[in-house]
Amino acid sequence: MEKEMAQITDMPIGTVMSRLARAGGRLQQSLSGDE
Amino acid sequence: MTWSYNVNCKEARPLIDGYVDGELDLVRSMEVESHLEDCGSCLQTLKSRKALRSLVRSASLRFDAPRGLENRVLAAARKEGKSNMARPESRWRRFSSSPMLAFGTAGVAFLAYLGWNVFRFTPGSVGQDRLAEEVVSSHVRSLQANHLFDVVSTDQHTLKPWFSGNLDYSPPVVDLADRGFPLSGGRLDYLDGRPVAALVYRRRQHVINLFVWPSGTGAAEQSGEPETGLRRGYHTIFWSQAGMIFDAVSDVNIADLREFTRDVLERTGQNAFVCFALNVRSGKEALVSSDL
Repeated sequence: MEKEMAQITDMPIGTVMSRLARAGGRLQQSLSGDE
Repeated sequence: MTWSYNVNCKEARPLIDGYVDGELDLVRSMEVESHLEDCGSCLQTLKSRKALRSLVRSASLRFDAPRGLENRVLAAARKEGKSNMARPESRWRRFSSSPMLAFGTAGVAFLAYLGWNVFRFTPGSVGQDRLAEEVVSSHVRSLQANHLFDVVSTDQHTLKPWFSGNLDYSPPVVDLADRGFPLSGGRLDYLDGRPVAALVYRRRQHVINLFVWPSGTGAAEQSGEPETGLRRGYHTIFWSQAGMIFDAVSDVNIADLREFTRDVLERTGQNAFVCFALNVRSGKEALVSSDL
């Protein structure tokens, strides 16, 4: 999945992964209620 | 933080999501694994990501957008369309074609989707969401498999005893032929983990399934205003009344289904009391409810 994202968006896979990681972290943070 | 062989926390963190999703190659997987053995904080991240993953997975994938969202999106699109027409070569235009925006938009949409799903992950709403999905599935199945009826009867006095004999409760059965919703039969169905009564009404060429079962514990424990929903093109109206859960589903238009709901509410109310006798054999008290 990450590979496809990288191909489609023409971005290095590392960038995709780190952004996903950051987004996942934010999602989790907002869900657990501590902003 | 303990020292590890191959990767440190900074390198491992972005890999954890890929690891959870099984997206890493063997070498990287092993690097992450060896790091996780030593690092409690990354292990914690892994655990919480796994929890997040199963949370998102367990939520139903279908849901209705909040009311008014469509209008807001359309209004925003119209506004955007107008300003675009005014300045066709605007910076927005050029920006909008960049892959950056596509990625950003996809990301925002994805997160909004996840967020909304998980936002709904209160026990009640997911239970209800899943239930609504089940109700529509039952409705569709009843039409497809030529299994609309166990009993074909337009007589409520035939149907009611039949249900009482086959279920551990007695659903209120009312005929609404004079209101344009003739009762045409009944069958047993299975919803919310229990057998339920399905009453079949007609509206012109359309079929309305009305599922009725006692409100027990958990997700079904709701009362008050009927809730409407739209799923796969079928309207549903869900309400509870006198200790029973009612769920009407049909492809008739929503106005007709609302009318149907009003008629059921009124007619069952007129019966002075809607009683549901919990199985007396099981030693439970028979309940008579008249608080309508």
